[in-house]
Amino acid sequence: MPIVAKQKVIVLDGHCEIDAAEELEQWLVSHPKGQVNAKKLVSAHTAVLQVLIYHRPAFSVWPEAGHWQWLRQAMTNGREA
Amino acid sequence: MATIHLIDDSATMLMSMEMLLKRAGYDVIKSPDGPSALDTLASASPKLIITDLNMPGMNGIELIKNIKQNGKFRFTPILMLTTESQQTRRDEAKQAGATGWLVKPVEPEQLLGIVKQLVPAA
Amino acid sequence: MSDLLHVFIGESRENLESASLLLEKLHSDGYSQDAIDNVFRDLHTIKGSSDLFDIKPLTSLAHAAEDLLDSLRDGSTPLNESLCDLLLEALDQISNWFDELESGSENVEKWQPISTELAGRIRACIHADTDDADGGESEQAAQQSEASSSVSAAPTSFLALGSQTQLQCIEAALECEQPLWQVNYTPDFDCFFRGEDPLTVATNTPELIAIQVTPSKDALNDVFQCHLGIVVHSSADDTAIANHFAYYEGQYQRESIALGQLVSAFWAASEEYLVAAEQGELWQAYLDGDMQHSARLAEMVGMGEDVTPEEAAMCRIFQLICQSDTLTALLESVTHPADNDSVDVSADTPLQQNQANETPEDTGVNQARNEILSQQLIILQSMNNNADSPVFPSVKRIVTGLLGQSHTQGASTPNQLANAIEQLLNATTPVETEDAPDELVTPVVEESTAAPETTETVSETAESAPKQERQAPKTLKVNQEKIDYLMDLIGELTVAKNSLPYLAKQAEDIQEGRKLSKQIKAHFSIVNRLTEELQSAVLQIRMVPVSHVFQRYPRLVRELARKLNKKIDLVMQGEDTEFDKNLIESLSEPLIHLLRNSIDHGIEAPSDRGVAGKSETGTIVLSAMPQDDNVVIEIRDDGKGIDAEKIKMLAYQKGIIQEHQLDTLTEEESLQLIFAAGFSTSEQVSDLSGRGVGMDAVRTMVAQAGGTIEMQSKVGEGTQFKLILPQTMSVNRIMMFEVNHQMFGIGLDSVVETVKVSQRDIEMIRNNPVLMLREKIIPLHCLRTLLQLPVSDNESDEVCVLVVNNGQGDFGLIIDKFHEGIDVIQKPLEGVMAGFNHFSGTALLGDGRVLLIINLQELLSCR
Repeated sequence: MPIVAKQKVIVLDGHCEIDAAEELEQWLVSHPKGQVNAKKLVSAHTAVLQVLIYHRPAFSVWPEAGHWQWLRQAMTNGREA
Repeated sequence: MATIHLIDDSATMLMSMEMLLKRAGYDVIKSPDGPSALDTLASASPKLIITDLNMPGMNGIELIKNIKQNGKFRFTPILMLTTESQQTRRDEAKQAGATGWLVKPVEPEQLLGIVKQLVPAA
Repeated sequence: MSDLLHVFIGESRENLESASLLLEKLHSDGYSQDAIDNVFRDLHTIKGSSDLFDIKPLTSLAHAAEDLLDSLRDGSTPLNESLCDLLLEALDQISNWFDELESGSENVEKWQPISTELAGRIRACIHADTDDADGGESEQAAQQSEASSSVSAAPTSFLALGSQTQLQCIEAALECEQPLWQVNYTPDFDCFFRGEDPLTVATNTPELIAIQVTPSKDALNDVFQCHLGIVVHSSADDTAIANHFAYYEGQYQRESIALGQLVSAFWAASEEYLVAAEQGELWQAYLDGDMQHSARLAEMVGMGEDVTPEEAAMCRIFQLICQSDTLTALLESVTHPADNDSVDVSADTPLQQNQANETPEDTGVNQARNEILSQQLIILQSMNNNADSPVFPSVKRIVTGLLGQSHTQGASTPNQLANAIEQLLNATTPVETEDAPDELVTPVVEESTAAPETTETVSETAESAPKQERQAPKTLKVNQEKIDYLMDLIGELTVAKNSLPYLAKQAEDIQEGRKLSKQIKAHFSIVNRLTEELQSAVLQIRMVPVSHVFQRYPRLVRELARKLNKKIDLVMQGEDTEFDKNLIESLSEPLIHLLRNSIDHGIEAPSDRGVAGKSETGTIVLSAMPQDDNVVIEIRDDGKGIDAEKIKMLAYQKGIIQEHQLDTLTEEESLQLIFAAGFSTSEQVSDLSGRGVGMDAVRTMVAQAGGTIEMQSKVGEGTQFKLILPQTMSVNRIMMFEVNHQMFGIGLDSVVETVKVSQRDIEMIRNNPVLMLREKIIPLHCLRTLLQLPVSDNESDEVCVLVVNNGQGDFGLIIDKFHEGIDVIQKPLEGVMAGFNHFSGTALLGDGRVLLIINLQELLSCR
C-alpha cells in the first residue's frame, strides 16, 4: 500500500495516487504531532503533495530519491509574514 | 499492472495501440464503441482512458461526458484521438472533462511519453 | 455603462463588421493590398480604443491580430485561408466580449486566458524578420511593445526567487547561451476533475532547471481542489515547452528571460562580492579588459575554502561570462550603461535577432512612442482640464508607462499631464509625427469627443471622419429603436383612422349630421392616404439588402463542407434585393436549415459525385429576387435529389399515409410528404448537429413570416426550394366576419364574393356539402367545425357563405355574419399561438379587440 498509517508516523511509499490525499489529510489533522516517513517515496499525485505543502508536517525521513528538493522549499514558501 | 482502456471503432487502431502499450508493460482493455465501453467501465477500473472522437452512434465527446458522470472516474485522465483539423473539438473535449488529446496518426514515442506522464506507476 | 463605452462599442462593432467582410473576401478571392490595409486599420482602431478603457485582454488580442496583419501587408507572412479563419475567430471573440460588455455581464479576468491562448496562436503565424523578445504572452506586451521599453531588468517573479535558484538558472542558461524560459503555471482549481496532475507535468518539464511551488490560499478546505502556484524554469526551447504544456493552455503563461536580463540579474546579486574579491584585483583585471586573467582569478576564488555555494556559483558564472564575447558585451552594458545606446537595445532581445537591424528599430521605437504621446495629448486637450473625465486615469497610465514615473508623478490634472508630454515632445526632434497620426488620431479623437455631446448614437461628426477614408455614401446613423417606435406610432395611427368611418356613420344619425358626416368621410380619405404613404416611407427605411443575412453563409457552408469532407461551392445572386430588417431574421433561420440539409443530405461526397459523372465540387445556388410585394428566394443544389419512393416508404412506416396511398400518390405528392408533420425524425439526423431538422419546422417558420415554401426535386440531379415571403410587414386589406360571436379576418384578395343562401340550396355530394352557385359547384366548409367551435344554436334557415379562392379553386366558408373590410397591419402570431398554422396573424381593431386572421391554405388543408 502506498500509504500506511501508523501510530505516530504515516508512511508514503512508491507512488501515491490522488485517493491517498484524503486519508493523508485526515491523519495529519488527527495527529498534530505526527510525522511523515517518505523514505521510499518515488512519485505522488499533486493532490497528495498539496496536502503536505499546506499542512507542513514534520518529516521523520526525507525521500531517498534526489528529485524532491523543490518540495522542501515549497514547505517553507508562502508562510513568511 | 496499470490498465489502459482503449475505445475506437477501428479494430486496426485498437490492435496497434494495444501492442504498443502491452510491450511497454501496461494492461489493456478494448471497446469498439461508446455503449460497450460504458458497459465495461461498470466493472473495470482503468488508470487511463483513450477514446477516438469520430465514432458512429456515441462520439468521443459524448462518451467522455458519460464517463465523467460516474464518480469512480472523476479523477481518471482521459485522452481523445482527433485529426489535425479538429481543433475546436479539442476544446470541447477539455470542457467535457478530458485531460488532453492525441493527433492521428499517433507516433509511438509520443503516445508512450504522454501515457507515462499520465500513468506514473506502470 | 458609460456613454463613452457605448460609443466605443457601437463604432468598434462597425469596424468588426467591416473587417469580417473583408476577411471573407480575402478568403475567397485571395490577397488584396487594399483589403488587408483596411482590415489592419479596423483592428488598429479597435485596439487603440480598447486601450483607453483598459481592457487588457481585448487590447492584447487586437494587438496580436494587428501584428499579424502588419506582417501580412508588408509581405513577410504569406496569406492563406487558415490565417483568415484564425483572424475571423479573433473577431468573433472580440464581438462576444462586446456583447458581455453591453449586457454588463463581463468578467474580464476570465477573458485573459482566452486572449492569451488566441493571441499566442495568432502570433505563432507571424513570420517575423525581427522577432519581439517575448515569445510568450505577457500582459505587458500590448502596451510595452509599442514603445519598446528600455527596461532590461528580469521579470519581478524571477527576481523574487531565492538567489540560489536564480544563480542556478542563470548558470544553466549562460552555459548554453540560451534564454531561460519561465513558466508561470496556475492550474484551475478543478483541474483534478479533468484527470490533470500539475506537479507531475511541472516536474517532467524538458530541461528543467528549477521549480517553485507556493500555496495560493491560507488553508486548504478541499483536498480535491488545486490551489497552487507553480513556477518552472527551463532552458528548453519555445516549441518544446509549448508542446509539453499543450494540454494546459489557458492555465499558464510563459516568458523568456533574455540573456541580457539574466546577466543583469546576476550582476545585481553578485556585484558587491565580485568587486571586492581578491582585494579588488579581480575587478581590476576585468576593467583592464584582461578577460583571461579575470577568469582565472574567478576560478581560484571560487575554489577557496570558506566560500559559500552561492559565492562559488557567482564565481563560476563570472568565468563563463569572461570566456564568452557575447556575454562579456552584455555585462559591459550592465556595468557601463551610459556608453552605448545601441548595445542597450540588443541587451533586451535574444541573440537570435539580427543585430544589423538595431538602428532603424531604434528610430521606429521613438516614432511609435511619439505618435502615441501625440494621441494622448490631443485626448487630454479635449478633456477641458477635467480630472474626473473617465478616460483620464487610463491616459495617465499610458503616459506614465512611456515617460516614466518621474515625469508624470506631479501631474494630477489633464493640463499638467499635457504639459509634461509637450515638454518631452518638444525636446526630442519631432520625428515624422505629421502623416501617421492623422490616420490614427482622427478616429480615436472623434470617438471620445462625440460622447459628451450626444447621449444617443445619432452623430454625424463621429462617423464622417473615419468614413471619409472609405468614401461611403452619405448616410445617417440612426438608432434602431427610434425606427421601431416610428413604426408603432404608424400602427396606432392606422388603427385610429379606422374609427373615422364609424364616427361618420354615427354623425349621420344625428340631426343635421349629414354635412358633418360627409366632411368626416372626406377627411378620412385624406388621412388614409397620408397614413399609407407614411407607412410605406418608414418601411422603406427599414429595408436592408439580403446580403446582410447572406454574408454569413459562405463561411457556414465552407466550415460545414469541411467537416463532412465535401467540396461545395456557394453561389449567391441578387444580394441587393431588399427586405424588411425586422423580418430578415425570420428568413435567415429557414435558410440555414435548408442549406444544412443541402450540404448534409443533398450534395454527395466528392467520390460519389465522380462516380455519378458530376464534377467533384457540388454547387448550391442561393438567389433572391423581388416579385411584386414579395421576395422570392431560391436554394438550388445539384446533389442527389430526393427519392420520392423512399419518402413514400418512410411516410408509410411513420403512419403518415395509409397503405393504399403507396400506390395512389403521384411522385409530386410523395415529395410533398416531407413537409408533413411528424416526418422529421431520426432519418434526418445530421452528422453536423445530431439533431433532426424537419421540413415541417422549416415550413412553419416560413409561414410565420407570412410566406410559403415550395420544393422540386429530381433524383440524381438535385433539389430546389423556393421561398416566397412578403417583403414588408405591410398593410393588408382584410374582410371581417363573425363566427360564434368571435371576429375573424381573411385577406380581401382571397374573397370572391359573399352570398346568403338558404339551407335548401346546399346539396350533398359524396357526403360533402356543396353549393350550387350560378352553375358552379362550390365545395363548402363549415368554419365552426374547422375551428372546432361549439355547434350553432341558430335555427334560422339563412346561411352566410363566404366564397373564397385559394389559388386552386373556389371554396365556400359557412360563417355566421359578414362584416366590412378594413385595413390592418398584420402582426405574426407569437408565443403559445405561434403553433397554430391556420391563423396567419393578428390585428388590432379600432375598439381594442383582437382579430384573428385566417390562413386560408392551412385552414383548408386541415380536414
